[in-house]
Amino acid sequence: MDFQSKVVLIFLNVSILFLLLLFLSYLLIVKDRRTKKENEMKQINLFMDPYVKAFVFNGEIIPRTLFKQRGIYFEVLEKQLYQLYSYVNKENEKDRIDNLVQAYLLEYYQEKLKHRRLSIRMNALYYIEDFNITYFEKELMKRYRQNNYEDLSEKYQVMRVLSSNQSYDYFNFSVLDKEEHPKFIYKDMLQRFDKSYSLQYINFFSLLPMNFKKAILEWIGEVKELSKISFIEATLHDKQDEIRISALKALYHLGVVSDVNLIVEFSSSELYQERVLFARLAMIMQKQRLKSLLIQMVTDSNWFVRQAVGEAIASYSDGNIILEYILESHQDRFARDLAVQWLEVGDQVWI
Amino acid sequence: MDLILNVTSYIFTVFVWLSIAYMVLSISIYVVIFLVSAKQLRKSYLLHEQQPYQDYLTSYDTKPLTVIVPAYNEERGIYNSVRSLLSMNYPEYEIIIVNDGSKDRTLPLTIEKFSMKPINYPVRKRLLSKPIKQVYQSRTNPNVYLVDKENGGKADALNAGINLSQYPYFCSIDGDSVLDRNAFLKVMKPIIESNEKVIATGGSIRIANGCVIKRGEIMKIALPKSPLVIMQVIEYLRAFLIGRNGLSKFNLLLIISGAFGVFNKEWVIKSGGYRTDTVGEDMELVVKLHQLIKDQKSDKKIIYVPDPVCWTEAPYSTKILRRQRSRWQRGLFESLWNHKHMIGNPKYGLVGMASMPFYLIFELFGVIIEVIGYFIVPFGLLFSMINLPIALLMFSLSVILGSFLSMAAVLLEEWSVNRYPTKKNLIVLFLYALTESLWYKPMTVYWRFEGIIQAFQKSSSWGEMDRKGISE
Repeated sequence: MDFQSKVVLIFLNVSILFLLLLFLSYLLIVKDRRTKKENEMKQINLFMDPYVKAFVFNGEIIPRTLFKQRGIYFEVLEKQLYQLYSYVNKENEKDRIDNLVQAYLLEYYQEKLKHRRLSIRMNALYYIEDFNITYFEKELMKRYRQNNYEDLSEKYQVMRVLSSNQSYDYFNFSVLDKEEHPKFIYKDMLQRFDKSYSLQYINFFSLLPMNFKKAILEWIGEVKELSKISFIEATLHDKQDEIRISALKALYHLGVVSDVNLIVEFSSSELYQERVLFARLAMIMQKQRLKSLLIQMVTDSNWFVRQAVGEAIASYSDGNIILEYILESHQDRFARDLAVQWLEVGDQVWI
Repeated sequence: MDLILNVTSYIFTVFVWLSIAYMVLSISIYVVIFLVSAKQLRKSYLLHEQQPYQDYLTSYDTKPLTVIVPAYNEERGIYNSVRSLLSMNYPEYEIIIVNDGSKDRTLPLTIEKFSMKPINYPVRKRLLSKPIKQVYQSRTNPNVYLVDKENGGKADALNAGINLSQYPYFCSIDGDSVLDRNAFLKVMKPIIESNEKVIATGGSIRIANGCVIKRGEIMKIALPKSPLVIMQVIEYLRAFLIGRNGLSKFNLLLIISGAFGVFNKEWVIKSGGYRTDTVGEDMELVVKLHQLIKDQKSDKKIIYVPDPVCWTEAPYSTKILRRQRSRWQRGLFESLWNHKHMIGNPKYGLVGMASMPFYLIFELFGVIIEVIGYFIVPFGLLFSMINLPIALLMFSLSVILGSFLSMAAVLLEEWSVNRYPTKKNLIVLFLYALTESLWYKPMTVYWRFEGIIQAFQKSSSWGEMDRKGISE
């Protein structure tokens, strides 16, 4: 190794060490500043708290000089208002919080939404939704349409904010949007829109992506929208398995079927999920005709189905007598195991 | 004589330059992984703690979860561990404690503390496991079950737990771990958001020694006093924040720690469950899942969640640490050996072409190269077969590979996750990381080398884990 190589080697090691030390110093300074900032925030919080509470609860005017147009003041105000928002009940108190948000935090969030770090933009979106700020609707619509997302969670949060804001533009756009998202985000949207908006999606049902269709059916069940029972029942014979399963889930949550004959065929379906959901529906409906089908299903080849059947039989008023009879006289070992389990433990089944 | 000397000198030279090439390549790869990981981690720096998970607390789409706690001689930690599990923020879950033939008071203690009653519960034997003696259910917490079974090892206990579980996802955790309240939400979020495309998620594990834990909850995060444990803290930061996070970005993750991971039950059953004849059952399962994904031409994913969600006790003594490290290395060897057909096989995509060769060359063979290096450099210097500048070059490369990368991991933690509260913590970690190449790395490399030898001797012993208990 020549002299030049030795110099390069030493230079390499010293440079790396120097860079690491430099980065350490930077992080120590950042840590120091953060600690100071946290202390300052505590002080500001103590100082601002009585003014903010007096305004929210009694409508007493806040002197404009209270906020010194520094980010830290708005950060404290954001935290205070977020806490207050979770426990104020009266409409006028909520309105006053909204007034403070509109007066002081819009510019603050505008900046945060443009931040290059994802987490800062996401935090701004969370607060925009919580404070129900509609001011950014146009900007968020523009953002929603763009395709270069650093992370899809940002797009999903934009969808949540727009639906919380009852954005009509977004509603129209989402009807025609061919891009398919996961089911959970469609459900989040449906829960956030007013029911009158969400139910309108039914008119466009055939145009929507599969996950959206499933979300609509399941959401109707989860919010117990009994007026749409005929719509749900109409999808019970859809060609696509996933739609039928979602429809059965919706009926299970609704707890009602207008005509028992509509579900009888599912007791012998080829899909085990449909047989499980039949058993669950039979448990809710408590009909003698369904009970006799349940008794036939105790020998089902699928474990999940047998569990659901056991749970359903046990729920009938004479369920224990039936289970004891199965335990004593049934030929099938799995059926006897099932009877033991439901007589002794009682449990749920999940598919 | 001259000929022998010449040949020896030639072999030395070849080995030295091979080692240098290996270290340069190794450093380059780790730097790339570090950069990928740093970018990824920084994205979520200072993200709101609660907001991203709020919707999932009430959603019907949040899948219920079975938590399996294998327990073998865990009398010190089992009660606090399960108690902390009972206060998790998650809508629906059951806890199955599997007493794997403990010789201490794990069984009576669990029965007494959770008021367990024996139940007649037909177990669905989808995976093989040692016979179950009795299943119990808690009277006070009906979602807590206890399975008392014959001793069969951790993998066997997990298989028994899977057989008893009734939910579609299960989470395996160690009997003496403490979880963050939102841990389940954090690891299930990618599964829900991907429409169940993600079939397994690994949580970030941190060392709890030194932290203040009360009633199964972390009250204060602090560093331990023992240098040996501090070095393990640094090692975990490096492994989880750089290694696993970087590999996960490309679906190349081969290990989900046994201390905390969530899996899709049906996929695990399809893959045959946990393998009981290996000591590295956690890595073995993940490799099998990757194999199954590729064999079925599926687009499923296995990912890592960088948030620190699980706190576990690290060995205090060199004796226990030595056992643990040699066992891990044996586990790595066995997994790579069992799936050797995947290594370099284009059928297995990037897992076969990049991830497995990476583990083979840098995690398994790397140890052999390093051990030979530790002997050959002083020997070569003594007999003038290596000159001083070359020895210095090798030393400086090993410092970069050991100390500098660990120091970078410490800084990355501060820059992105930032869990250690004081400046002193940061400085202590940084300075200890600087010393890694001088004492800790050679020591652990030697123990890992022992693990490879044991693997050749087909040792299947786990060794006892002497725990002090981490929760008050």
